[in-house]
Amino acid sequence: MHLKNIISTIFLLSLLLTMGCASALTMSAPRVEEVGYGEKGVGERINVVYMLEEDEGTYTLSRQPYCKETVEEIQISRKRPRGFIVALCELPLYGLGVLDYMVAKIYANASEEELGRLPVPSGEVVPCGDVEQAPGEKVLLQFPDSERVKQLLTDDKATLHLEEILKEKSRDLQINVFVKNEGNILYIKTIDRTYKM
Amino acid sequence: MPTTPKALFVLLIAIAFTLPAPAFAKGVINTSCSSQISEIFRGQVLSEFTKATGIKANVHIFSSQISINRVKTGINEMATTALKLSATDKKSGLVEIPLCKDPMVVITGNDINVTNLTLAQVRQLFSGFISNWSEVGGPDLPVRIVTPVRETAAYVNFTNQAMGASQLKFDYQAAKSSGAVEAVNHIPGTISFATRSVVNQYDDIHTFIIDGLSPSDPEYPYTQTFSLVTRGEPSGMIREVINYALSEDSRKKMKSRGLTPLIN
Repeated sequence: MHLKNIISTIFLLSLLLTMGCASALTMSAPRVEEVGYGEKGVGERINVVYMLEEDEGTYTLSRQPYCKETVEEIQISRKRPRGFIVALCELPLYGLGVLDYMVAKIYANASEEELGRLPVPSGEVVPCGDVEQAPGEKVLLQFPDSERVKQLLTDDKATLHLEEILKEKSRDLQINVFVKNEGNILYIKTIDRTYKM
Repeated sequence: MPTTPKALFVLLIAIAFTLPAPAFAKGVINTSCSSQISEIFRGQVLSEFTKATGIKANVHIFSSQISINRVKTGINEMATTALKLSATDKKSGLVEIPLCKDPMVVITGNDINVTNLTLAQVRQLFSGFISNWSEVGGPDLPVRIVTPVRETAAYVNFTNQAMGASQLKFDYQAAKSSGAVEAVNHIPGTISFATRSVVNQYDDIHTFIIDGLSPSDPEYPYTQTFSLVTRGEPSGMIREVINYALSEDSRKKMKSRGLTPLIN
């Protein structure tokens, strides 16, 4: 009984001694540098994306500029919360370990300092302008199965006349549509004809 | 609530506070590529694309059929293949964009001093009816046939285009189409077939003129078409890769390597 009381007292005293350790460890820890990400923006223009829309058999060509997406890379200096295991040991003391670790986290978050911001490419490509009609554009139709290529022009209203071509009997289940622009060939759309199977 | 579950509950809450925030993922393209065109597609098109745009591309080398399967199952976003898509594949939503053509050539080492063959002789060599090079005017050396495995586009295309009703046999098989070229480079008396752009890198291998037609002749009938395959219409970064592969610069590089761009 006497021994039991001594052991309980030692246990209680050690718990009391560890109180606040997580917060103290966090306050005395060195700062670390981390990278965070902020707002997304728009960078340099890559190209123009063309779109072919079909409405009751009429195909209209439109275009929209696309740019590289950027994201703000934020250099942050902060303290990291420490003493998680110590806080766990404090839990038997009416759950005070939770409070201790919460204080450690609040302190760590409050220690955050921004060192600098830099826009970097995010790896994505996003639209960066209005959609407009594309009259007088050179359009190439590729028939993958027969490996034919046909050239057409969009008219003043940016309409592409495909009625005759789509009526043709051919083994091509898909027609790839491209625009030829300043020597480059840009993919627009694939017209699916697998319904004919 | 009993004491032990209470303590566990508090522990779980404490652990939840320490979970890290989700990482920010940058754009990366995952693509599979036939080994026959990997050097041009990965080495030239994709590496130049990454330099120009900052968008990274991971390229995995597989046979054409496996590359297509990986796109079908969503493992990769794009594939480069020398096999034509079947009607079923297209109906399931795969899109095929043929990019360029390259002659398929029959090759042997420079130890064999034969340069001209008829189509009949090609079939007899690959089906084992001609077993010694002396039978076609060459040295007294046994004919060793090396082919890529059946699952490769090169095997399928060569069988369909050149072999007719003759059965294609082999002494050795290579897991990749480019591996068969390596074997010809090292094993005396071997015969194989491959796409010309792969063969051009080897000095000790020559190609055959078949029925009077050299691979550079426009009428040479044995070719492979390399296509880009995507699941659904390409968009976003995949569309940018395709546009880059079709750019004036890329087309010039393809032509310099002996490939014929299909959209010009």
